[in-house]
Amino acid sequence: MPELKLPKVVTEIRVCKEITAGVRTIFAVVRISTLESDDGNILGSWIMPRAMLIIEPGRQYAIDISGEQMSIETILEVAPSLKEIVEKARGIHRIRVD
Amino acid sequence: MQFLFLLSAQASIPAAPFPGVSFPPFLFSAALFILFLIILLFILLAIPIHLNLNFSKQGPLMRGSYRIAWLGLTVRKREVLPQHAADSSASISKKDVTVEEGKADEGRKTGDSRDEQKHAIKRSPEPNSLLNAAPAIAHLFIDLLRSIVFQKLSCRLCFGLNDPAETAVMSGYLWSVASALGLFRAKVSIEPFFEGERLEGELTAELKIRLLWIAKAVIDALREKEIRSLIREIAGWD
Repeated sequence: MPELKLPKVVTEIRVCKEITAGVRTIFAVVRISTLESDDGNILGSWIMPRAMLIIEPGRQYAIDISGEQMSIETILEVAPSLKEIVEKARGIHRIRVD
Repeated sequence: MQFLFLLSAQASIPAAPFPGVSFPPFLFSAALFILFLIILLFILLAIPIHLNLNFSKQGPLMRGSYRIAWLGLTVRKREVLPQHAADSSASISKKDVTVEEGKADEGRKTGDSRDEQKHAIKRSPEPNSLLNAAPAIAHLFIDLLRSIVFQKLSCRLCFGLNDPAETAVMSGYLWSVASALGLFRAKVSIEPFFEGERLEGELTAELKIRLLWIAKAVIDALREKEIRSLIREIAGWD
């Protein structure tokens, strides 16, 4: 009897392209799941928002999709690719003291 | 039908089928010749044309080939040698620029570009005519699609846009289209790539096209009043 293999779900965390709203820049962090068959064919995918990183002049903060505040460290743990963006934002608004 | 009956009557009873009416022998031969031509054309249109397509893009390299065969004989065959995708797109854009430059030169020479624009506006169909003809055009496309039979279809597409969310949404659209066209019976694989922009894939298809159905679809479309008026409008015959 042939072995029945169920498709597997592969989940990745990705950062979407930034959205600019006035002076704010919003980076959405999404969870992308794909349903892969045994031979590697993708049968379907779905995306779910996870969190948002908001950059305003002088401050950066993160919001969980449930609406609760989220620490920058937590969002960086979830999406390490945001580290560079946060550092850049902090660098822009840093006051240099010579 | 009446014509065939007349011919058969003429063939079986060569001497005066209708009292008082005599057919000259050259008319009979001409009718036979025309009938023979119609039958020949019918047979030629009924014999399917086979089209084999094979295209692939791996990284920046594109390659492909196509072959058109009729009655087992290769009518046309061409192979696209591996070339850089950027080169081909650059050559296309270069062509466009050359064409535009050429058009601009012509315009300067004649100094009558406004008339050309007016002419172009004249040839563009009215939205109302397009809307009226839309159902007939849809029927034409459906009939044309019915005349194409996919004997073999294998397609693998791996693509990625600059936003993973957009990639996921686009892959959903593509799956929907593939499903609506019934392509999942064929070997179709659409792979979203979430890590950046990418376009890679392979397409292998074997099609069978009967020109008879295409001719029928075109004739059926031309019988529609809306299509005829749209053609007249586009051709500027009004």
